[in-house]
Order: sequence, then C-alpha cells, then structure tokens
Amino acid sequence: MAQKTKIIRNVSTKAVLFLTLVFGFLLISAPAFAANPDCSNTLNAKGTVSQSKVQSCLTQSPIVHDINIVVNGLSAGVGVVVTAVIIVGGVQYSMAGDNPQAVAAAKQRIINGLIALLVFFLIFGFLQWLIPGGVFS
Amino acid sequence: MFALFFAKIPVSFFAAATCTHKFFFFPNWWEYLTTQPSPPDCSITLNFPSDIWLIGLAVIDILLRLAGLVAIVSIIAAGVGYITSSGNPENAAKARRRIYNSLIGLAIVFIAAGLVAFLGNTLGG
Repeated sequence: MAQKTKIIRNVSTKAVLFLTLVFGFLLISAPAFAANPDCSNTLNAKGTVSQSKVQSCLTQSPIVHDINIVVNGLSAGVGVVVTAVIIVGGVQYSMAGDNPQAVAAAKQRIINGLIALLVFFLIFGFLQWLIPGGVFS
Repeated sequence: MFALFFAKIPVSFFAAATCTHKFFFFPNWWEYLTTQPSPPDCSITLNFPSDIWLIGLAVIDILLRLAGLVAIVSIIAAGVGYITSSGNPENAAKARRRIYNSLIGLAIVFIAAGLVAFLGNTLGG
C-alpha cells in the first residue's frame, strides 16, 4: 500500500515537471514578449543571435525579474543559515562533554553546514558561467 | 509614606531610556531592524521579504552569546569534576576531555562566524 502511494506520488511529480518543462514557455513567453514586439525575433540579419538583444529581452520578462529577486534574496540567506548551523554545531560540541557519540553528532552537523556552503559556491560559479551577465547582481 | 518615597524617583528609573531590555546579555531579535528611538513607542518597521535575513543576523548574535555561555558553564562543570576526581585517573581524564571539547566547540563557533563573514564579504554573495 505504501509502495503504491509512493509510485503514484513519483509519477504525478514527474508528470507535473514534464508538463512544466514542455508547456511552461507558453506561460512565460506570452506576457513578456507582448510588451516589446522586437523581442519576438532576436536574430540578426545574417541569422546569428544577438546576445545583447537576448539579454535585454530576458530582463524585461516578468518571470526572470521575479526569479532574480528570489535568487538574490535566498543567496543572501545562505551565509546566515550556514553560520547559524555551524554555531549550533559548536554549541552541541561544547555540551557534548566526554560522550563520543554526541561529539560525532556535532561534527556531522558542522560538516553538513560546510557541505551546504560548498554546494552553494559551486552553484554560484556554475550559474555565473552559464548565464550571460550572471544571475547574481 | 510609600507614595512620597516613590514620587521622588524619576520615571526613567523604572522605564529604561532605550527600547532594548537585555536578558542575560542576549541581544534583541529586532537588533538590526529600524525601531522608534523613544521608549513609549517601541514599534518596529518590518519590510517582509527583505528583512528576514536581518532577523537571521540577530539570531546569529543570540547564538554566539549562547555558545559563550554554554562553553563557560561546561568548562566550570568540568573543572568541578576535575577537582572532585580526587586522584581517580579515569574521572580526571573524563573531566579533561570535557574541557577540551568545550574549548573546541567555542573555537568552532568563532571560526565559523569569522569565516562566513569573510567569504560573504569577498564574494559579495
């Protein structure tokens, strides 16, 4: 029974993801490109893509604007949350006394915080490389 | 008679001059938010999405103070254990390990606070 509900949940999650990926552009592109008719065609005369035009049209898109706000807000919070996690780990270490299991738990918490920081910096570098101009303003 | 006694004490003796009331040296959670400066009106202006992390910074300050208190109390408890171990090598070793662990925990806390602030400043993240 539990297995069945799990499979159903997996399938429905994948369906939602698939539909978003396939038909999502309809939601995104319609209002964005209606505002500026130039953005319907980002090709130059010779058929090459104009990068500056793509970039200016991207920033006009409301969903890109909202995503920028969310990404900037959350990336500001990463430092705060990681610091809080490591400090809680340090408090746990202090309270561990001479119990090796409690020390191991505190170490695990600190290592998890550091892994989160590392993953964030990798994502940061990857997105700066991937997106022209970078997402982090 | 009591009324006369209390009448001579200024009101500011009872109500603090600022809006902050320290409790065990802990800072307030609204430390980095803008507050009204005068005591009767201590209302806080909170811009919802952008001020969350300012509250988070204040929570970090509270946690730093908490870490210091915990480490000190733990070292004192371990020191008492060391004194009362009275020649028992096993108890003395336990107390020593407790002291080491609390010092390591305190060091981790301060290194973390410095490290993450440094990384945040250099990368501007």
